[in-house]
Amino acid sequence: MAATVERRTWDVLVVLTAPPHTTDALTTVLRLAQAVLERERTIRVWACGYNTMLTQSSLGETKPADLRDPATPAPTAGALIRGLLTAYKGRFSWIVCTACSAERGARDHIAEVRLRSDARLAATVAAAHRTLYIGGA
Amino acid sequence: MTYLVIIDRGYRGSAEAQFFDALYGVEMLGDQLGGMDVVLRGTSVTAALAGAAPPPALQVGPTVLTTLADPRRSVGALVAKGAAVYVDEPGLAAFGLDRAPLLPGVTRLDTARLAARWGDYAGVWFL
Amino acid sequence: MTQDLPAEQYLLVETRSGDTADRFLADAAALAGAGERVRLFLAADGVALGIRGVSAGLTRFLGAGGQAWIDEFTLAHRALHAAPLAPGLRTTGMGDLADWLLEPGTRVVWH
Repeated sequence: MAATVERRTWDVLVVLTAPPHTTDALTTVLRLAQAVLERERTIRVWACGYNTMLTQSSLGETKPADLRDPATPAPTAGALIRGLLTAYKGRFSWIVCTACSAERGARDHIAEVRLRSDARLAATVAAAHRTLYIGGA
Repeated sequence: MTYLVIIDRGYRGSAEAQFFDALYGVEMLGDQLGGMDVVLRGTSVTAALAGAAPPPALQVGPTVLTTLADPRRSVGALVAKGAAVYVDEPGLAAFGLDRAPLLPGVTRLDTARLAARWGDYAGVWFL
Repeated sequence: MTQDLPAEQYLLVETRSGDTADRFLADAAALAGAGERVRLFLAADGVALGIRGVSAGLTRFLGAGGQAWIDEFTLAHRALHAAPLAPGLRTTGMGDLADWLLEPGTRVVWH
């Protein structure tokens, strides 16, 4: 299949494969995204592997309570991602790989993310000035 | 009978796990299992340090996350409820912190020496 | 492809420690030794390599002309402010990493 040519070029694409809840890879990516966005630039994250589970609608907005402080809600990763997508609409994008999602039964994602087949990875890389690949899956 | 839990890796997803780190798990589940003594190794050794500032807040878009784990608070809570907390001296040395002051109630030693007491525990779990 | 080729400078990010991180530092030293402009940023578990006396690989990298920084947020988050840092290592934040990443001609490699 020929690569689809996108109309815009993003400043940065992060391909994130390292699983969440294991290292601080997602934390570092969110921090980097914040810094790029504060510089009025654009950044897109292609979420692979178990990162596809972070944006499932079923996870809701808040995590199960900290039993030491149940009155203080803690946002889910999905809520954090949605917050970035809303605050920086047009400059931040979160793509969920449909192959990884299917492999993990990660369905019903929040509306703000984009679903994309892994057959479009090359096109997505081509649509960024810089690709940062984070392995560790 | 008490369990011995060894935490040799911290920071397993600060943005997504937040307060729910291994030490939180020990705080929540230890009593249910009859008590847990804790060994801190690897990147978890700094949970034993006295005088550290609270964890920094993390800004993600419009959200300022203040619900990250506070390992030193957890260690204080575990000591307060009577758990034995040990921190690995070689682990501290790897960070140049072998002489850093520790939280009250934490014992600094080469934690491999504790293996001689593994038989005293109901189980030894690496978390 | 819109990737920058050839690279005018490298930005290497180390987030791990241990044997594979040592090999990455060897990569970094080889690049610097070959005359490439190399910036190395230590974050997350990678900060362990920035402790004084820990990494011969970091010393070799700096000796080969590389520049290295350690993440201020990670140091604060992990209560490592009292830890002695390797000579020649500077502290900085994600803002600088973003600036370096966005510079034209930068090739970024993340471990």
